[in-house]
Formats: sequence, structure tokens, C-alpha cells
Amino acid sequence: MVVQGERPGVGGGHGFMGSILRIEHISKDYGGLRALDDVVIEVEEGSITGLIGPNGSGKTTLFDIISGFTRPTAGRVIFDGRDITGQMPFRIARAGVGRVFQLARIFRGMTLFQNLIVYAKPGGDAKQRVWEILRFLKLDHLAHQSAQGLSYGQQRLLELGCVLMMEPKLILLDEPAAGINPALLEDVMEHIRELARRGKTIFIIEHNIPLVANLCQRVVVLDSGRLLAEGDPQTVLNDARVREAYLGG
Amino acid sequence: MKNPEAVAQAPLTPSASRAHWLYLAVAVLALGLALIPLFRVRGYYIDVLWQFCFFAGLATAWIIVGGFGGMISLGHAAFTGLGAYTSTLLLLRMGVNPWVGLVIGALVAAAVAGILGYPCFRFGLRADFFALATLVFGIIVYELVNGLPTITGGPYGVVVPFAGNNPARFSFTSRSNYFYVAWVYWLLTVAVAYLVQHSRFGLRLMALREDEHAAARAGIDVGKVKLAALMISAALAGLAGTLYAQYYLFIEPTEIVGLGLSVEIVVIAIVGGISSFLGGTLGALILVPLTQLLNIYLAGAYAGSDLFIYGLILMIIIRRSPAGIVGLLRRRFPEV
Repeated sequence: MVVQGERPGVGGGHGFMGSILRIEHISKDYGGLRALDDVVIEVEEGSITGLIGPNGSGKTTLFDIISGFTRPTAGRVIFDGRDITGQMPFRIARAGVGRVFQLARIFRGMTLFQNLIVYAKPGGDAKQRVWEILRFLKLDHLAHQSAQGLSYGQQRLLELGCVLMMEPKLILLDEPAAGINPALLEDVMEHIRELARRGKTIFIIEHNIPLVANLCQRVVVLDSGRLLAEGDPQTVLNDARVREAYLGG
Repeated sequence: MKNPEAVAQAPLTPSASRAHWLYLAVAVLALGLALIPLFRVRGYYIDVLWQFCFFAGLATAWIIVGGFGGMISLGHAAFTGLGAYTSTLLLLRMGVNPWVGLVIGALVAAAVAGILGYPCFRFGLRADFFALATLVFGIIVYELVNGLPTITGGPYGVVVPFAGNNPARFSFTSRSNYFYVAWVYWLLTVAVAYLVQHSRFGLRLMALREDEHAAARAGIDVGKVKLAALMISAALAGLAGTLYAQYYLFIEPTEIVGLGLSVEIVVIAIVGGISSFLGGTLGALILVPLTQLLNIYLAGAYAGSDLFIYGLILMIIIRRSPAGIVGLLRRRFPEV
């Protein structure tokens, strides 16, 4: 059992449990540039929701706003019934939002074991949990190696493991497939599905369209900072506007 | 994905047997130094021993914030100076026992560190600008001590009255006793640094040194952890100030508050290795005797040549081992 804290009766990720994350009319201006324009998104609890859009459409900016690294110009972020707009990143993390960055942000000067223990919540048997996660990610044989020596794919797995240590309710994944070899990618996808089965909510930015179609129950499309389309993957990916904006017609 | 070589190298737990040798070496060093005064050596050697403890303790204190936390402080002498002036002025004006002054001085240093650190860390000042902020802070404290002669004696300094052989008031006729006090101080800083390095707090500190965003993502209150590290370090640096004042019975801003001492602390820490609780000790073990030797054999003969050679030796050490002496030791003892 790697992922703890799931509630009984919750599973599958398809049930109607209301939204755990509500993006309410979020706008973000950088000088004269509008990176996000009145974006409204709801992410259902226990779901895997995809966020797609061309480069520069504001996807990562939106993740930065949810996790507190950037403050919005207007609008509110409601997580788990609480207004978390503009809070410090560490407070949002403690509230249960786990962010996996686009570039693996791990502590390179530390061992894998130390990397994971930093993320441990106070109390509980942190060491045992570290071993569980290392085994889950098949990295346990490297526990006391420096994180510096990991391959890029392993670094990204380690980062996912770090976020799992926090036992977050919502996991924000920024392009988990980028730079990972196909064999490892299958592992990553299976890990993501497993997490959703255990009641985690996954909000995922991804450019790999087959992966999105395969993994997500809902897809949200951003284009030039605006919400272009949303719905189930089949409908959204076949939408003429989406194909034009994103897939190049 | 699997790397057989890495599997072979990875021990399940760090080897404990070698760590024992390391701790034994530290214990032998500490006890060995403590025994030297029993052999009726000349006062000069006791003075060198005292200086070793003073500088090793200061550099170890510095490493808690500058090494573990990666926040380079270029104004640490200001904390030492605050400790020295607090206890001395309390003694002169209100007759406060220097042992009490020792503690109050450390608390004042920690409080001032809090006032300096809070705005720096609240607004996420980058490490390089933090270094500049501490440099300016050091200069400000120096100028204040220098520029308020009615309170501090200004550039002429303050003479501390000698209270005869009165251990209850931090006064001894034997030099060795001052050394034993400094010895306890040195080991205190090493113990604190060891505890920080091996605690959750220390791990958080090292995490934010590596990547502040990732540390915040981990739920670490980056500003609070940094502030705590700076205040602990400043308190320990403040203790050294009273040790200095009581031992030399004279303090003046250039010696105990000035930039020179700040730089000396940083250099000792870097030569020893800023990533370990032993860095300050190893740095002082090399540089304190080296300074003395160069001073004796060169400074009198050719003015300035001692500093030239000192700089040259520093360059060689840093070239050979950028991680300091600790970097060399780590190859055999990963626990350092």
C-alpha cells in the first residue's frame, strides 16, 4: 500500500464527488500581456483531468497560480472548499496540493532517501513510507545513492515519489511524459492510474495526445490564456476549434 | 533503468563502523588539546589553543547558516561584537556578572539577527543579495560602535576590569582556565552543528539551499527555517564575544566587530568545508597555527609576506579540494 489516506467507498475515480478544485475567473497580466483571461475550470475529486493547449497558452502559469508560486491579477482559487488564492506555496502544499514541476526539481546533493524524507509529513512512520514509495517506483536499490546520478526519467520518478510523500489530495503534473523513454512512460502512466484508483485527484498538463486520450476522463483546452473547450477526451480532441488551435488542423 | 554497478555500490544503511573511527578521532583531538595545559607549556601556546577554540567555534557557528543553509554571511563579526559589547557594558555600568552577560549577549545577537533576517527572508532575498545585506549590516554595526564613544568607548575601545581569581565572575589568574572555557564553547558549537546536520531541521535547511521552490513545494516554511538557522548561528557567535572580552580584557571595534574578523570566520569555514559540522574545526586546526607560524617567521622579516604566503596556501587548498578538508575526508568517511 503506497498511497494512504484514501476514504472507504471511494475508488475508480468516476463517481460524482463534486469538485476539489475550482478556478474562478482567474486572470493574470504580465505588464501589458494577458497570460490568462477569465479562466473558469472545475476539477472533479478523484478524476484525472487533462490540461492541454499550445505553447504559451498559459498552462504552466495556471499551475503556478494554483500552487502559489504566482499570484493572479484577478479571480479566486478554491481548493477543498477553501480559498487559497495568493497563499504562500508552503501553505498550499500543506493544504494538500502536490506539484510536480516541468523540470525535475529534486535535491541533487542528497540521496534518494533524504530527498523523500524531506517531504514527510510530521508524525507517522516516515522511514517506512519512504521505503514503500521507493519500492512502488522501483528505485529502492538506489536509496542511498546521490540523486545526482539518476537518469532523467528516474529523476522525474523520484520527484513524483517526493510529492507522494506529502500524501496530497490533488497532484498537479506538468508534462510527466516529456523526456521519458517509452518503456518508462508505460510505468509512469500506470502509476498515475493507480493513484487515481486510490482516490487522488490528478490534474495533468501533457502534450502527448494519445496519452491524454488514454488517461483522462476530462480534458480542458487553453488557447492564448482563454478556455477554448472542455469535456470528455473524444469530443474535445475532435472539436474543430481545438484541432485548428492546437493540432494544426 | 537498472544500473548493476549502482546496485553493487549501494549499501542498505551507511556503514557505521567507519563513523566510529571519525567520532573517536574528534574525541582524541578534544581530549588531547585539553591535556596540553597540564604540561606547564608556555603561555603563548595556551594563547594559540584559546585562539583555536575561538575561531573553530565561530566558523562552526557560521557553517550552520552559511554552509547548511547556503546563506553566506559576511557580517558575522557583528554578532560576536554585539555579544562582547553587551556583556562588557552590562558589567561596567550595572555590575552584571559576565556569566550572565555571556547569555544576555548571545540573546541580543540572536535578537538582532532576527531583526536583520526577518525582512530578508520574508521577501525572499536571493542568497547573493543576502550576502550583501550582511556585509552592509556588519559595516553599520561597526560604524555604530565606532561612532558612539559615549556609550561604547568608540575607536579607543573598552578596558574590562580584572576581577582577580574569581571563577564565579568569569575571572581567572591562570590562562589555562580561559582556554577550558573556550574549549567547552568550541565543543558546544560542534555539538549544535552536529545536531542540526542530523536533524529534520537540518535536512530542511539543506533542501532549501538546493532548491527553494522545491522546498516550498514540500511544505517547508522557507523563511522561518532560514531565520531560525541565522538566529542559532548568531547566538553562538555572540557567545564568543564575551569569551574574547573576558580573556583579553579589552575590546575595540576593529578587532571584534570589524570586517577583518568576519572574513576570517568565512575563510576558516571554507578551508575546513562548509557542508559539515567538522568544517570549522578542521579549518581552524590548519589556519590558526599557520597564521601564527607565518607571523613569527615572516611578518617580522618581510612586512606583508606572511599574508602573501597565507593567500597562496589558501589558493592551493581550495584548488586541491573545493569542498575543503571535509571534501577530502568524505572519500573515506561519508558521514562527515
